[in-house]
Amino acid sequence: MQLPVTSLIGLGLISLGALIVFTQIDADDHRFNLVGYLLKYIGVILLVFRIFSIQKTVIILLVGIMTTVVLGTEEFRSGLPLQLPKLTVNHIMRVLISMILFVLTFTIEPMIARWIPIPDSILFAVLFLILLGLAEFSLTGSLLIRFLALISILLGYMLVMVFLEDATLTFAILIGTMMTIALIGANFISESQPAVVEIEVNEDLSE
Amino acid sequence: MNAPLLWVVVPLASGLLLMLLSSHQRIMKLTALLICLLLGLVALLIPINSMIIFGSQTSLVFTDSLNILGRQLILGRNQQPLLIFLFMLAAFWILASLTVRTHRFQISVLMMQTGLSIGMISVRPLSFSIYFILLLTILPMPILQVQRESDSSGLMRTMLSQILGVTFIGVAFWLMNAVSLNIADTMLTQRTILMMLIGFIFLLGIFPFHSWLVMLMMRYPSFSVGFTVSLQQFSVFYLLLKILNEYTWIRTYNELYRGMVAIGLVMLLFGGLMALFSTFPKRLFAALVLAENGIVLVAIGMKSERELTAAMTLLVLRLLVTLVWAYIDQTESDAQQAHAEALLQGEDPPPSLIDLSAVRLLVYYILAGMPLSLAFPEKIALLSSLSTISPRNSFLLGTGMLLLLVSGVHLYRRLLAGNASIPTKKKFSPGILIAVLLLLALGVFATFVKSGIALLLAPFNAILS
Repeated sequence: MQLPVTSLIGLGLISLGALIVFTQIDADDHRFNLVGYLLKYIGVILLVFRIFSIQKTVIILLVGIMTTVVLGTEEFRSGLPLQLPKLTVNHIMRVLISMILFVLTFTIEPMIARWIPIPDSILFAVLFLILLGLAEFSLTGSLLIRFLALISILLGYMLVMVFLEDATLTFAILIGTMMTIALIGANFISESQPAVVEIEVNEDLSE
Repeated sequence: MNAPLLWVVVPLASGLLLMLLSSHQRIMKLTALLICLLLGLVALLIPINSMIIFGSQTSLVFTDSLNILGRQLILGRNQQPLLIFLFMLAAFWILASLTVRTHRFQISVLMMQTGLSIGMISVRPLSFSIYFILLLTILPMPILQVQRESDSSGLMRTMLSQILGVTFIGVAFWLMNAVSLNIADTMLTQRTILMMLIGFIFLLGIFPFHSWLVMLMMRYPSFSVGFTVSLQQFSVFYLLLKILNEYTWIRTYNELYRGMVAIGLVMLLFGGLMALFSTFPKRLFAALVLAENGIVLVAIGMKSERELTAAMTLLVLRLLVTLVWAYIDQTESDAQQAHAEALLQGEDPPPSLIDLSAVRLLVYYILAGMPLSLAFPEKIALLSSLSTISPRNSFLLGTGMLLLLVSGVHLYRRLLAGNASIPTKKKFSPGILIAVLLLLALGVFATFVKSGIALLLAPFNAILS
């Protein structure tokens, strides 16, 4: 099977994005996770832009950017410079787990491809998104990562359904659901954070 | 003018608009109550696909369908009894909310959920129903997040289960259409059934994927979560019946029915055992809901009109019992909160509420199946029918039901323990008395209720035949 270069790059970006999110699930600074999440979307775009209409492709990209912004606003508020995390045993273990999941996806994909007739590269991406999403969801208590995982699972499902049914309404409903979940996620994240009382310095006092 | 516009779009839109009145809770609740009663009354009085004549010149055709982007929302005359029931149920919840503390957006969300549940009933093709169920479940999440008693893991698990359920059932729906074209492909048929069953396992909270349901019912105020859980479960069972009604090959696939009976029995025994070791009333009720899911699955799996009526009766009863249970919970919690607030402010505490353990016990047994309750004859008939088919399964069913009855002892112990606080002036909530009497009346007027249940089952004529 000969895959176009863009599809190969797309698959690579999805895998890299998923790997970044997965290895950084317990990091204090979640900005790497958001970058990884965005990489997944860019990978999906590269994978489907030859098959989907330009409108659908743009909408998927927009949803990726919007969900990242909606969920990650609090993370970018700090304005601190982004620092590369130190490599620990946990990171190596997670890389190994993602490699196992990668191989597992490769192994089960041909079996599933026999009864879900969508291109192999897309099916692989879908299965990897869903499996890694489940792993991310179950290995952390962080609300941000869990919501990113939920949206990744829905993204995988949406790719399958858009291929199978080719229905614009299904696409619209799922896009709407993903945005709703992102909004709920933002609400959850802001609700769970302790209230910050901003004290205004009264300059008159100094006079 | 058409039926879906009135019974799907109007509740959704009114729910959204009522949010504007959230600072005037009483006006908002009364308006919502009025809308529900009005919509219920229209469903009772005006048949779908009829002409409404105003005066001598004006007339209006009340059509049954609404087209949205190539898909349809269709409501038939045989679904009008269900519409009446759902709007009356919503009206009862709103009525109960007038006397208890609720989140300011709760009634708006309740209206929208009612609209979505009717959307689920009416949408064509059937595969879109699952999206309505998903939206119905995730809509109240922000409200529940604010009212959480611990962390958000209950809500997160709920969302994950719903998404996974939708994923499996969505793909299963596509496969079902493929099977309809080639029924001889047994491998494809088996995979489709498997996908569908896995989806329902996630949506119904069947063991071992039940934790979301238990956590949701235990960690959030019953009055906030009760409507969502009961309506979600009812909608999922309704979807299952719709699938059986629509696809002939599934209806005639006997292994599926055997699977449903087996899963139902596992669920009942698991729920029964969980109930037996549940000392907290909330956990006990969650276990009862899980076990009842099992009984309903067994009833549907027995594939006869009598048992299908039993399944629908138990589902309807559960919706009503959940309302009363949630109302009792919230009344108790409000009384405790008012007492604590008064003490904190150094005021004389208001008269405390009388111990409601006896009422809880009664409500629990109305659903678990005490004599004179609506559930009792249904469960006995189910047991009797199953014993003629499979004595072993009948024994398991009987054991599960017995476990549920025995588990009520935890509530009985609470009743005997009484309230250890210093005796003060006590008050009683008349709303609770009325609600419990109404539940008991359902058992007394069982024949009348059964005729209503038969009307609710009218859309499933293919299964019944």
